[in-house]
Amino acid sequence: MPEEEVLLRVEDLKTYFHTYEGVVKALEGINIDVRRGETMGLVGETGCGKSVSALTVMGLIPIPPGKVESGHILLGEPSSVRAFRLEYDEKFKGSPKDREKEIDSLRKKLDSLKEGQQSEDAKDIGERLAALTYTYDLLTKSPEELNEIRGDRISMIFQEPMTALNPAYTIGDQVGETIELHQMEKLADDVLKQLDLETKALVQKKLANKKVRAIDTRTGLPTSDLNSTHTAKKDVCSLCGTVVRTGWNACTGCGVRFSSGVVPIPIRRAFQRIALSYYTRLKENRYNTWAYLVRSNPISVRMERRLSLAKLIRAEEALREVKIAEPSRIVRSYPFELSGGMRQRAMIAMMMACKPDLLIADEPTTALDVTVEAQILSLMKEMQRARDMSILLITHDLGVIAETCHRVAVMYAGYIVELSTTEEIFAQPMHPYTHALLRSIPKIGPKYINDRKKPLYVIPGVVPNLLKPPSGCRFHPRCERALEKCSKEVPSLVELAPGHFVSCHNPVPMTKGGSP
Amino acid sequence: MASDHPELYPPEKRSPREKYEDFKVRHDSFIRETKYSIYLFRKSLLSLFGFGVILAVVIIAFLAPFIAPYHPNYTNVNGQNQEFWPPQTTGTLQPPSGNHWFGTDFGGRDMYSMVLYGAGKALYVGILVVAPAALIGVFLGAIAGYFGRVSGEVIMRVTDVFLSIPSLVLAMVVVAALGPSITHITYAMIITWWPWYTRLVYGQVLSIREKQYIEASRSVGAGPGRILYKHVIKNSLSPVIVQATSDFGYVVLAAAALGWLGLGAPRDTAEWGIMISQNQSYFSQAWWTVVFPGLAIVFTVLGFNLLGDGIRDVLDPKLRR
Repeated sequence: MPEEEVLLRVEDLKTYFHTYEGVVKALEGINIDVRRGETMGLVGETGCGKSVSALTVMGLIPIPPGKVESGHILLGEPSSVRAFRLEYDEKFKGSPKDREKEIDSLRKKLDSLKEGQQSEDAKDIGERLAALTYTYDLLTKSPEELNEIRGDRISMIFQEPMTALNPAYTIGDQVGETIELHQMEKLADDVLKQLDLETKALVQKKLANKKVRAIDTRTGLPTSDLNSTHTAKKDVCSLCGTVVRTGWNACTGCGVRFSSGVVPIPIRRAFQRIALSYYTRLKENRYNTWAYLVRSNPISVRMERRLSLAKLIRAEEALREVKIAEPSRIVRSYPFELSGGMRQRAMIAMMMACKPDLLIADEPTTALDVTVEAQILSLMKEMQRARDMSILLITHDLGVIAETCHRVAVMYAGYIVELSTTEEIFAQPMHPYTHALLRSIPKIGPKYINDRKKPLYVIPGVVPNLLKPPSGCRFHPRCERALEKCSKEVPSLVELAPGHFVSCHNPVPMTKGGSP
Repeated sequence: MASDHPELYPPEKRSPREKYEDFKVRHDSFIRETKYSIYLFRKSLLSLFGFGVILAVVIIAFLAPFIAPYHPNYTNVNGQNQEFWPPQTTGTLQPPSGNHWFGTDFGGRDMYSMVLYGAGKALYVGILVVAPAALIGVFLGAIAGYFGRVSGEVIMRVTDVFLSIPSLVLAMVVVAALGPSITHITYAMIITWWPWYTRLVYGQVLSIREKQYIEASRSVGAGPGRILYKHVIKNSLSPVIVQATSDFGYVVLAAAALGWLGLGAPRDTAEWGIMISQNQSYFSQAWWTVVFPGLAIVFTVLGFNLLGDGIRDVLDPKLRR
């Protein structure tokens, strides 16, 4: 199988919670890789560590009590860097001092290289350095760097659209917040475009005005036939002759703003020069001190209004992309005015506004009814296809998994117990836990009409308390196929079939086309 | 596209009616919410009464120099104005009459004018105490609640220390140290008042910071400062507004109490508490000298309390829907 581009690679991730009662081992070294443009499912019962893995990837684990003990979360790591990293990890195992020496020597080497020369060398050293210092590892990032990544490259959709939106702000404000945080440049650019047109018109003193002309309403062209029923008197731009919609103060054809005639041109020009320099600075650097001072100054409200309008318009576009009805009204409404499905759409718009590479969806449809669920899932699928985005979908609904995912990882008590393509998992589950999960789905359809008196299959017992997890394989107390070995040894994740990883001492044997 | 969006190019030269129609469409949610708030407020007669009383007090406070027939600090002796201090012996303690609606006090000052001027003093003290106290309280409470740990512990324990001392006693100590003046009363009362707001906001923030929208906001990359300022504080503000409104009344009461104890403003100030304190020994001969400023205090405090209740009805999410 050719190696596809891996977007997110989680390696040996361990997250523990240090509580009063003891250490809760929520994640015990999980390995997941999400490829670009792929939907990866994460299934398991409640308390298996699905949400904890998602939050760890986002860097949202509360610390303390939570702590990431070990592991790497690598986002967008090129394969060459990965090769170096594996090599160095092997080489410097248990000798961090040597590692630091190597880093220092490589840095010196890089400094000695002249700019523009030996770019191949520089690239090689850069990759080696990235591998040594784990540049692509999200766990090495500072909180500020993580804030830059969250929302821009990774986003997360939450389970309850009811509570995940702030009741005190309008939808537009909240969708716009993402844009404001990550795409200030674009917002400033939007405003600059407008300002540019206006300034041009002002500098050339070409202040257009509206003229009333007789227009044929069918063709939109000027006409001399004043007596026809299709002739109407309309406002026309004096510069380019485009018909202007009633009430507009700018031309849609050439973009020129019509003069109101109230403020003298020199003053308007001065205002625009200030605004222009302000937005140029903001576009170059959103942390610009000068721009910040202007923004926090109540006198510059006039400029900020342009920015917040641009923000609202961007938010409206984001809402239009998630196919919400009447986006121009929704931007100004509050979350409680919307239904659950609409709120989830607004949530998706908020998270997708910056076109992230990876979307983590934590049970996005659990709180919704079935028809809305289907709409939301198809919307996510559509957006994924359009943007080549990866999705990490967390759910306990196997129906959702079957519908949307390319590959599935089954989690149990902090371990990944089975990982394979969706088809394989449903056709040929090998881990007893997966097998049992599939068996416990209620069956519907005429085929099963005689089964309805039978009690539903349930997996005996509950997910263990992770304060005192069972020894060996954590599933063995509930497992039908448990051996003596299972209570002593932790099974490792083994590739039993191509692309099908199972961690079990006694996997369910393969049958031909056998479904549970 | 953004470039031809109607809102970047707001239509110009529209009639007021068109502008109104446009506003109505775009701000539909806001208008509906405001209408509903007004309906909720108007539902209760008592809060309307409170609102009316407070409105009257505010108007009186601003218009006192124009509607008061006499200067509050001048005595009226034989139709001629004299400076109040030292007290005069003629024209004092006159019962309510056409000339002096509320009578005159022991120094011959017109009670009606004094009560009118006292409204301004009361509101002045109220604003100067409640606003800084609420600001300090919200700031410290939000920091303590959101960041928690050491800063939270330190702030909340200091708050507890302040709360453990009876507020009037603490205020008395401060005023006694600084000397009697209206400004010093406000300092004293700010010191005794902020811990209540801190504790209130602390509790609010503790519950709000666990809300999922805070986590959602973090997951789109908002930093702690932004979350605290935009999301946490805004959502924890409604109980503070309710509390601040009723506190206005209590501050007026406390200021009057300090004035009555002789620790408030200087003795020739037209302040309700001082008026009662100065005239109380004449109560058996001249009831009007004590009853009218007392009634003014009662109505103002009651008005603020009822107004606070009304605002709570409006802001309480459980009552709303």
